[in-house]
Amino acid sequence: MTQETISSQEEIVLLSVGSLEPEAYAYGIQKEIKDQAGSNWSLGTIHTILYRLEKKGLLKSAMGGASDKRGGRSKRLYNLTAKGYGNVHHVQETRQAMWNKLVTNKPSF
Amino acid sequence: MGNKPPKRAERLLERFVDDRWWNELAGDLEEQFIDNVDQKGLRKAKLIYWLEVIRLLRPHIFKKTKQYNRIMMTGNHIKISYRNLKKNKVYAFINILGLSIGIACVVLIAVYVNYETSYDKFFKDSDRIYRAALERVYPGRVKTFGTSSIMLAPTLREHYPQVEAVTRLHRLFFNNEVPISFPDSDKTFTETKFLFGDSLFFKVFSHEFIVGDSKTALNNPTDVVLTESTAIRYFGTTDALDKIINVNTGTRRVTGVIRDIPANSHIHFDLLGSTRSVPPLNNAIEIGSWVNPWVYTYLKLNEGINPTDFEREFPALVETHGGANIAQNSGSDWKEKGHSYNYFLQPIESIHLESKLDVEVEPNSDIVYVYIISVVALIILAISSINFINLSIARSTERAKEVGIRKVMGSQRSALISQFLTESIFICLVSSIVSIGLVFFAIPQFNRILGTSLDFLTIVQPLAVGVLLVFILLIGTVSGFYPALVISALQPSHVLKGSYKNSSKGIWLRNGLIIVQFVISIFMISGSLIVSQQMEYLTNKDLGFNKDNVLVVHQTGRIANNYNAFFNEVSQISSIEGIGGSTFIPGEFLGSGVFKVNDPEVNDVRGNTLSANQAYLETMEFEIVMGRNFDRAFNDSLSLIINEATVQAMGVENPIGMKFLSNNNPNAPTLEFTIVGVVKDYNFYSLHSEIGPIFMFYGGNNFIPNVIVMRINSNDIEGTVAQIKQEWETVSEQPFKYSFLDSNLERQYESDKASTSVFDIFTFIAIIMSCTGLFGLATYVVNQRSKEMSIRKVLGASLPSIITVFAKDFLLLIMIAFLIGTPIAYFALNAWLENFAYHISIGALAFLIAGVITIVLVFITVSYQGVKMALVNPTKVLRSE
Repeated sequence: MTQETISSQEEIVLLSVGSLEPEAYAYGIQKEIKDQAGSNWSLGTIHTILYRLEKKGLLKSAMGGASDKRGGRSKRLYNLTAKGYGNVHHVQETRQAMWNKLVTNKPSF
Repeated sequence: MGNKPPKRAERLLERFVDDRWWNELAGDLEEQFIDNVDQKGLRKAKLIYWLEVIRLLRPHIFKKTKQYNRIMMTGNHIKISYRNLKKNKVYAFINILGLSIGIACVVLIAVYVNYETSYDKFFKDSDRIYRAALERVYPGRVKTFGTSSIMLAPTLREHYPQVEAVTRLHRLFFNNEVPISFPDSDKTFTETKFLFGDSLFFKVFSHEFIVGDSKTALNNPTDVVLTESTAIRYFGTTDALDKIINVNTGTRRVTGVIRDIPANSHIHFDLLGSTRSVPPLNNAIEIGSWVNPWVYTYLKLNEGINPTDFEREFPALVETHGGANIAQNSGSDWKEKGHSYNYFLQPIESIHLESKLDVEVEPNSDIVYVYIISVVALIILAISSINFINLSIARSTERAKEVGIRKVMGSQRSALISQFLTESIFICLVSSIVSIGLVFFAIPQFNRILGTSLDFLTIVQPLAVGVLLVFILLIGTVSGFYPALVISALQPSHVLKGSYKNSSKGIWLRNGLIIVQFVISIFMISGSLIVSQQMEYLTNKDLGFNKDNVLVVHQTGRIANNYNAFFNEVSQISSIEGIGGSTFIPGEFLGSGVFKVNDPEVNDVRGNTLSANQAYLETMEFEIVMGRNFDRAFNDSLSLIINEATVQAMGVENPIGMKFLSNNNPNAPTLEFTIVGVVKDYNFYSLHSEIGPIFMFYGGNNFIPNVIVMRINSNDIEGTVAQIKQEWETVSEQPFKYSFLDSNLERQYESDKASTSVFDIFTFIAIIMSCTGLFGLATYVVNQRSKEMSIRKVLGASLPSIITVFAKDFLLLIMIAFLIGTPIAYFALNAWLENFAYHISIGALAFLIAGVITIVLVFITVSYQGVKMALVNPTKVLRSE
């Protein structure tokens, strides 16, 4: 499978979508990133990344899950596509492999 | 859960975000907002909401409409404009500075015109208030007064229901300096703005009372109303009700304090007393006088009454109610003799700019000045627009490559036009921001010169700002349109080959515009020269007397019995050459009357009167052309000295020995005066008007003058004044008031001087701007011809010859401009000079100077660039390509 090149921001968003499914929407992702990585991303940033990832075919979305808290407005819920999953998986594998090598190499500080 | 996200941020979101996204985003934001309210409080949550909305404004979220495309393209155009300005800083500087000066002038003038036309509009119902003015027809002569008969107001009130309210206003025509003192303090003041109104004054004029009742304020003769600042000056507080002040004719009780009168009114007073406290007015009421125009009559018409229709009532009114009294004065056949009293109405809002009658309340402005200044502002705006257009066209060759590339990339012509228009509008916007700053700093200076009280805040109004914006768009479009058309029409194939660079397209328009600029420069320079020559002429004209070093001491009549003692002491001061006495301050209001000679061959003469003594004529250095001066040695109490204008009006050759009869007052015995001398015409009044007949009576051997004039024969003027003051203080409690004759006379030209100095300033600005435009153009032309010049240099051309090549083009344009500009200036200035009874004739010199100045300025501008070019090493220029 051909791999899209993705940035680390995109990787984090992809990971959040995957871990929040089926309840992955922009604000939820924002909270998740805050909890997990401790960094504040604006909705604008997240939305732009989601938009880009969907265009690349790594995510797909559907409307749903309206609630009172949102003034009765529905959410756009994101799911990883197979391609998306493959992509983060690939990144993860590459990193894991390189990390293992790094650890066995015992770098001196 | 009453906490709602900020409305405006929500609306912003809705406006810009595409419908596809809007729903979910709004939902996300609201969810986030509610969480934040719980965790961080409402304020912070709102702030975060705003920040999130702003950060959401990203291109992919925007509505995909045509509008959106345009916004994006405009953004790009602005970016390109900015880069272009940055790339060529001199050009940007000249353009922006020039345009902002142009816009600033227009804004300033707009504020000024707005101010000048706002006079008296602050009064409630000012559109229904009128002044009844009098056109008095004498046999063979007409005079128009701002004043009217004292009987007019009561007649209107009683018999004409069309009039809602009517009131009378009086000012002291002579001796208008009123001394003020207080029973319980030794403060003293001398007031000149002490006017008198009747009890209905505030029914017509809606002055705001701080304390007191407007309905009853002037009911008693002893009542007086103060303005706020006067009350503070006197008592330190505006709470001055029932305080007592002393004036020269008795005590007055303060019955009201009003807010200070705005500067844009034609009536200003510090104190307003009752007309019933002025004895001559009471007499006039008693005899029911219709012949003396002594008060101003203001009336407020009822709604729906047409003033022109109402004016038609006046002839019948005068005849019915005033006929008897007029007949007493001028005989029952007064109408057949050619007398008439024609009253007409002046809208109060128009008085300041349009009324030019005798005996105005205050000197009025003239609408002509408003026109002139407006025209000058437009000229400056034109110059700056011309600069802008010229520079844009000149630079079009530079931009040609950019246009070529854009076209090759598929840009439409309309897109290019809109790009260049955006650019010029962008520059206009930047300029207008700068110009607002300029206006802010210019207004205080303008106020100082013109004596106005313009306010910067008058332009910070929605309407004014709107008009300004439209105006800027207009200038931007107009001045950007031609360059945009020219540049966008270029053929990419030609341009990219480089052939456009040397084409002369647009050069004729450019030259035409330069000629227009030079015409304006020549007009302005010669204009300001001639105007200042005229002013010089006015101040230095032989006035028929010597105005230098004459000290005028006012109110000497007040020291009455001590006058002789004062006179003797002052006579001892060695630096004083002569001390003459008279009844009026030279240059101020004079008495007047009609005089006839007992001889049907000699015309009756109406003229101004004053009393004087022998020393007065000597001190003023009047030149006696016939007869003799008054003389203590003769019995001169019935002698009369007249001026040449009187002789002319009488229509006789030698008036010496003729006897004049006075018929001023029908109740007094007619006196017979013998003419003993004739003085050369002398001019106390502004030279706008011609010299009229003057009658000088002898004050008598024991004359106590109201005013004395002294010629000081010393350089230590201050010391002499101090000595006189000391003498004054030994004989009088009254404050010592004096002035200098030359400065009194100069005051008459104040409004001329103010407008002249404004004209000068604008001329200066116009010239500077023409030069900067030229400078920009020269810079450009020199750059364009740099290769040519370098080759000339290599072939051995000298520095002067290179500069000559540059200057030659411009000199030709100046010549043409000179031929066009001179006649225009000549006719315009001639028309202006006609305003003066005494004026210079226009010589060729002013135009020559204007031409030379323009040539020199152009030469300096062009040769600066030329020299810079000529000094560059040719290898640097020729190396490339």
